Amino acid sequence: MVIRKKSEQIKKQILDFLFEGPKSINEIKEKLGSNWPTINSYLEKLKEEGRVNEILITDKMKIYRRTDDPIYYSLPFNKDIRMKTLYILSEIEKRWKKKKGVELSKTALQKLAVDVIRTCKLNLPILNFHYGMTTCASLDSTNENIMDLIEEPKEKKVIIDCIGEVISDKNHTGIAYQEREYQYKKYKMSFYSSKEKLTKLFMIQKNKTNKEFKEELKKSLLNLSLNYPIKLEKFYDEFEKFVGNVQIILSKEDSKDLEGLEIIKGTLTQLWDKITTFTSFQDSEEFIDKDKKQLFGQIRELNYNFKELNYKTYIEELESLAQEIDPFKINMPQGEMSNEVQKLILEGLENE
Amino acid sequence: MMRYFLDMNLPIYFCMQIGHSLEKKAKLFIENKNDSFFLLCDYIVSRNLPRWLKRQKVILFEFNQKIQDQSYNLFSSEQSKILFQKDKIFANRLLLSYNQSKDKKQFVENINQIFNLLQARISYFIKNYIDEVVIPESKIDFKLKSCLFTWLRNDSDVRTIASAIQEHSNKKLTIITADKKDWTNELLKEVHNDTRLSKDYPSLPKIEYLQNYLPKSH
Repeated sequence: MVIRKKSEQIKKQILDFLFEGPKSINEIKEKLGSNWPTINSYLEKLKEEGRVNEILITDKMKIYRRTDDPIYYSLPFNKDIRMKTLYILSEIEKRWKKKKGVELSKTALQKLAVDVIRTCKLNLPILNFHYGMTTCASLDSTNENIMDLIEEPKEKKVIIDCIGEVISDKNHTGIAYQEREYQYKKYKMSFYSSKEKLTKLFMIQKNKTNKEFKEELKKSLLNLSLNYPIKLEKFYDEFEKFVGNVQIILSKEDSKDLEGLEIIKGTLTQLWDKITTFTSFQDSEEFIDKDKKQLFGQIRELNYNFKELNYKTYIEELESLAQEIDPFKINMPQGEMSNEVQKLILEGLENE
Repeated sequence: MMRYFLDMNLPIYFCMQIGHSLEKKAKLFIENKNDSFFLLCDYIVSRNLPRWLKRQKVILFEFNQKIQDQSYNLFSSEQSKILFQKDKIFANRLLLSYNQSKDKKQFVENINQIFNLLQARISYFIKNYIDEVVIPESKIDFKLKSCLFTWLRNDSDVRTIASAIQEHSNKKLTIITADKKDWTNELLKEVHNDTRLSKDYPSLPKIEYLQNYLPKSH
């Protein structure tokens, strides 16, 4: 009985330490003042229980994390960042419920927390995630193991004041899609706004004729292209490839059906995921301590490769669908304006 | 069976739709392919055309950025470093046309559609009309290239013509181009002023100009 209790204590110590971020066996053994085989055996037990897993395995080391790690991608932010972010999230959730009498959606919670971080000018990461700006953590208030570990920061008073101010902002409705729209408008995130419109269009597709839907989809895609941000120019080729192929599929004149709609949707999702994974890591990087930069880089590479693989499958399918269409059967836009553009292209051909 | 070696401009003229005289000739030439063999050199397929298409994409990117945000500093993107001066003039002229257009929304829709369609048409053209891609770029005869460069100071033209001459020495071909100014029989003959090159390439391809093309009656 005594031995079992001790074993549980050690496991708890390991889990508490992993709450501060992913760690190697060496880091854990040093923290707990134990040896490698002992720690390794406890980690194996915790792994069997589904409470930890390896985030990274190389020839030389294994890095472990809690399976309920609240930090996105289990990025190795320091304890201070983790604690403050989780504190803000938990306080907003508590205070919103108290004031409004209803639960706050996960999306809304993130949007309010971003406003708090900005209003308080707190030095905490804000990530450009797939649904807009978020904190670096996701709060599950039903997880007592995590909630018990959250400590009050020294900026408590300032944070609480800010939360009060943000919750009082009537534009915060607590409803996910309205919260996204409000954030995109407030922070002039036109690329996200365009993507939101596109997503909405897919949702109301059934209420429209195929022709109407195709025309609106073309326009929404153009809108997305026009709002493509310069800071993402690294992905412009891929983005343009996606848009170009979709425009060809949608312009097929002898087809009234919505061919390839699922592939179009899937490719957009994967591309968006790939781009926003990049922005999330980019936004996180400056907040990673020097000694964790290497681990951060390894996690980033793993995620990039995974997203790339997902995206590749879809874009290849989209491309092959577009390649089945004879683009010479699709007319170039007619009229003086279009002729002028084409003439300019031909003039540029000289001395090519 | 005729083997035609195509200059890069020909597919681009073929992909346009404005009724330009060379566009009409290119369409006539391609549509009367019959049993002729169409060749493009590897340099055009793997490098020059993709590079040209990439520059068109960047021009469109710059255009879209500028019309969305007037404060955007044109050509400040990293990728715009690949643009030539003439591309920048082109982008500025597009913006000028846009500013003068009455229906700006339509102009933007059209320009994006034209650029997208152009890319798709060129890829389709290569896949469906080109019978063979010849002379890997790395195999272009350096001496031949240097000789041509003495007379023609355009690296792309030099690589393309050198590829044509080399392929002609494997199997006879005819060059087809719209460039009457630089692609001349006189230029090709300069190759024979070099002893080694005249031995390596005793026969030189004929050049036909798109402007003079008339379909053969069958």
